[in-house]
Amino acid sequence: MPQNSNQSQQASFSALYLQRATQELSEDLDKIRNADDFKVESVPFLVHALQQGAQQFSASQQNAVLKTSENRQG
Amino acid sequence: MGKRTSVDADGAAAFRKRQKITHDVPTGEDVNTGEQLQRLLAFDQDMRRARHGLQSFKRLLDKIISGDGDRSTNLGILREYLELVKPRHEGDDAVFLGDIMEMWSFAAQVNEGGVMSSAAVVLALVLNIVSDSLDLVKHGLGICQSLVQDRQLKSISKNLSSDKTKSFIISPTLRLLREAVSLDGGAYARKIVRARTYTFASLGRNLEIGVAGDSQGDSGKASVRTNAVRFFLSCLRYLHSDGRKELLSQKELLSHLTFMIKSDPPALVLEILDTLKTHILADSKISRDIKFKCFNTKTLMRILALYTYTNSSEAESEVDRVTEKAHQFLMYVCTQPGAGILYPSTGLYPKETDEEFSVQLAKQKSSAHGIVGKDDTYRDGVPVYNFVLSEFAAKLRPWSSMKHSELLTAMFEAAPELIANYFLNNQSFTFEPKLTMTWIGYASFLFDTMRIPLPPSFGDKTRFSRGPPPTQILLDNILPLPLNQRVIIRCLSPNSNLTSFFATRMLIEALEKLSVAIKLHEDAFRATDAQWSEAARRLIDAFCRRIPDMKEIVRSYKSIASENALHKTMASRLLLLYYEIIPQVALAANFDVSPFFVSVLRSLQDESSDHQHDGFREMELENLVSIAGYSPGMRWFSRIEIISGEGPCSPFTALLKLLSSSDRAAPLHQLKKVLADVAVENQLVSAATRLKPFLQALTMSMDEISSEEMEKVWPFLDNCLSRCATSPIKYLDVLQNYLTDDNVDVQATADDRSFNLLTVAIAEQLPFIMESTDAQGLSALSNFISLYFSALYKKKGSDALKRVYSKIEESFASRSVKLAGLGKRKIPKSITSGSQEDEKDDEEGEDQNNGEKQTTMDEGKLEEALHIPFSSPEDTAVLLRWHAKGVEDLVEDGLIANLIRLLASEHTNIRKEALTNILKMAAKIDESSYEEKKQFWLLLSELAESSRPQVDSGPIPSAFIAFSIHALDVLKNPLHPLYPKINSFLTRSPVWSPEKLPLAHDILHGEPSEDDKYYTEIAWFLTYILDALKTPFDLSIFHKKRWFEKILALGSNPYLRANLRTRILRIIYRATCIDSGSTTLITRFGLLAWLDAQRVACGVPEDTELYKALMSRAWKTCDQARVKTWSKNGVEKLLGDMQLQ
Repeated sequence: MPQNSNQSQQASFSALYLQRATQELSEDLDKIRNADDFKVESVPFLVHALQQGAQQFSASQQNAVLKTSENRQG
Repeated sequence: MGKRTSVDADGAAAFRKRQKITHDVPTGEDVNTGEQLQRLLAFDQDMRRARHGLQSFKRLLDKIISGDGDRSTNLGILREYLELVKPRHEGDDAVFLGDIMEMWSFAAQVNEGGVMSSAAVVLALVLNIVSDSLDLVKHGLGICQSLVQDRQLKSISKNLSSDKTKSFIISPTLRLLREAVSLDGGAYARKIVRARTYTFASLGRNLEIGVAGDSQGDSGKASVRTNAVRFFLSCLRYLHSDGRKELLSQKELLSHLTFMIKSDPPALVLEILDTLKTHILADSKISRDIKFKCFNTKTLMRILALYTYTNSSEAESEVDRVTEKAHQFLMYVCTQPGAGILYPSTGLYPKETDEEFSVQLAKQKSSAHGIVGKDDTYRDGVPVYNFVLSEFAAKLRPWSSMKHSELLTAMFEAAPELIANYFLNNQSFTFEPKLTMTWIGYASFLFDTMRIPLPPSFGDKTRFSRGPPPTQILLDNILPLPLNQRVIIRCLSPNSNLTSFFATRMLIEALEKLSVAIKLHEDAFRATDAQWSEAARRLIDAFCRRIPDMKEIVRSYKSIASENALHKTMASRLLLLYYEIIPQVALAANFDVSPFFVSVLRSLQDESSDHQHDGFREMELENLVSIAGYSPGMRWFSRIEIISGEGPCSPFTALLKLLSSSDRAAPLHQLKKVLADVAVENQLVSAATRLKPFLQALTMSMDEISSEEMEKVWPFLDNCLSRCATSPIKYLDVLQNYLTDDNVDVQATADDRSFNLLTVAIAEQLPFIMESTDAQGLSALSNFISLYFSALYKKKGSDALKRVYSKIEESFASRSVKLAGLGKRKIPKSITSGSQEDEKDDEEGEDQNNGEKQTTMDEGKLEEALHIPFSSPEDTAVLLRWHAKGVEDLVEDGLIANLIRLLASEHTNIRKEALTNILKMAAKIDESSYEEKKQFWLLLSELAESSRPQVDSGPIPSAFIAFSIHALDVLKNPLHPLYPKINSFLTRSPVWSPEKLPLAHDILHGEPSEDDKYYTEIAWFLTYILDALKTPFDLSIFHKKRWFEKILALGSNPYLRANLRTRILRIIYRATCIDSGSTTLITRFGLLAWLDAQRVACGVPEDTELYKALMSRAWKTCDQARVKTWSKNGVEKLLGDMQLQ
């Protein structure tokens, strides 16, 4: 089971990371959405590009950020 | 003649006309019996009637397939018919369904398209039906057999080569062939493929007759291409590997197969891809060459084109399946070594273009000049093994399609040699920042490429052992070429958060990868290799030239808005990595970090700001604090206003506050570590306890008393910490007073793990603060202080600590505040759970306990472990007993050995008797018919002759006896590895020198008789040597001939097995049992130092104890006065140090 919980932690962290990145870069993302080469098919690519940095955080770092985020929300 | 010509000229047109008519009017009748069918299908030159018969048959077969009417009756009619027309004789030339075959052949001759088509249709249907029925299969096989006969092959070929507009003829023929190939598990597949001159006639063309060429225009009906593809795929499926190889060597077939793949219906594309993968790529018996020829760049590009597959008439999910399948297919082809396209490569070591040249290069590997020159040569291109993949990679567009990007990075991972090659060959695409999807796509691709880990040993173990890979290639793997200093600086510009965010992440990735690469340069044997350290230096230099200066990173960090927590965290991490990995660049910038971490602290403690992303902020804070740890100018203890209205406070105290607050989810290990380092460096706390007791006490206080009360403690603590840090000398003097009061010796001071300057400062400052504090504040203070001292006391109490505490008690008593007794407060162990710092401390504690628990090995145990009794009691009865025994019994029962042992007797007469008896025994053996008698005779005679001069004077040397007894065992067993050595020793000389150990030199210094028997020989030798050491005379031989030195040297072999090592220790123990043995060993052979070195090196606690005990024994049994003088008291010191450990 630890593998599962690890995966779910990674998934939740990736989601949080994406949300954070989208929020912080919202202004520039708007410009990209209006760029000539932006198509509907580009969305998954854009999401992948934003989210890929989540791998740079170790499991313990991910855990710490997630816990803090839950505490402060709850 | 003229007439005939005119007929021929319009012949084709006439056929076409006629065929149109017959094609349009197919007639047929219902069939009720097999005989009726036989009549209908009887050969007839009238093509209309022939068609009528075939059409009727087709109706019957259609009914069977569709299940209309009574299927079993219809099947019965078919069975009856097949039985009726079965050829009378069986053999290779028997023709099944002879009438139909004849009709077909006739029609082919007269070019009667309708019958040519109908015959193929009917045969295909028959094969289809019989393949489902076990009892009919034999007819099917018969039909297949008939098909591969010459006449039918010609008909097939004629059908297949029909005009490409006549799909109604070609398609059924291809269906027929497919049915024939797949019948009964492919029983005839090989034969059909073998007859490819006919069966594959016009296949290349037929594979390219798509829907457009299909005259039917009926979308429900499969095109010629579809049928041709299915036939070809069936061949692949049902052939064995050899057959497939043969098929694939057909020129261009695969090219025809994939030519129109983009316009095929989805189901067919899926079928093609599945079959190619399963039956060609995954077939390990098909050689790489063949696969490689089939899947060239052109083929791969056609499959790549399926990524943009569209088909208006199919559902979107089907189209997506095609795209996905094509992606999986290419991923498989390009990354699986077994698929034949990916060649094994040598990672970051480029392909050696010329073998001889490379050998020469290897010879000159030490020449640094050569390496530098080599690096520059890769500016024009990196030679690779996977040139097809390199060519294919250049066609991909990773910036515009995620799948292309995935494929390319997967290829890079499978063949890292492609990375440097790719970027060098494709330099036209720049990374100039632009807010477009293309830039994002390229950035994402570059990031994924950088995430690919460096291959172990940089991809080639052999060349790794020779030297480092070229710096340029390694650098391109760490930081791809498009990322140059100018572009990265532009990306980091404050104009766009997005480009700066992406560039920051990439730089982090690059630095982390660089540190891995450097580590690979510095590990193991490479640590001392100048070639590697030079390469590491070159790599770092080249890397630093490619990345922005520290000031750019700082500027970028400063420009990020404080609410962008994630971005700031990443930027701070990048700053930290600069400090950690390339400090030469980081320190050049003179970056003062304190204002930044103060502002992060502020935002963490600011009630009004959004705290949802404090996790990131805490990480940023940790990074900044770690940077502060690296900055020499950081002022940890100068007070500043961190939060307005709360008074000034030092950053150190502010961080402590943060650490001890209870609602922190993050463990903040890094922060704790840096603070503890700072505290130890400034001598606030001792290195043994670090900050742990202090943090424990703080956390518990926060739990026990309200935050308002705690607010009164903080300024006091801040004051004590600052005073301590700014004037440590003053407190060191005070500390000295506490210690000297105690009259403790130096040893006890060193033991005092808990004592520190902070406690002294607290005791000193307490009276001043008490004057200005109210009762509430005093109780909070007493609470904290009692907790802190209890935590320290629990760690390890000391008298000095008690003394300081009693001073504090006095101060509190003056204000009538009661303080809990020292050590009375309970400190739960898990109070600051999970921290690495704590764990480390706890481990230390446990280690100590373990050390205390360990019992030292005493004399008795040592004796038990190492002592071997000197010798068995003398058995004089053997002098008489042996006469009665046969030679074999003498050898087997050990009587010879017992007799030999008597030579060591103290009594001269027994020795003399023994000597006489040995000679008699030798003679007896020599006269016997015993097989190895000569060796035994020789051994005993040599022993007797060597002993004769000694017998009168005293026991003969133990070495003679021990050698003879152990040699007996070897002589009994000709397979023993020492057998040849002992024999050659025995034939060398008739007498052994008493000053030497027989054979010892041959074993210890000679070559082993067999390569893998060295340790077996050593084991025998050590047992023999132990027996050869019994008397002071033996000891003197060991001493004079330096055998001890050789044995100890043998024991220094780190690979020696434990049992051999024990044998050596036994010999040492034996020597300590002999008069002056220990003294000789210590003074002449440095035994104590040797044992001490072995003790330190062994690492196993039991063995350590064994060595210790042996050292003590050697000391106890030696002439201590002499050893002391000899060592100038060094031995006592050595033993004293050892006991302390």
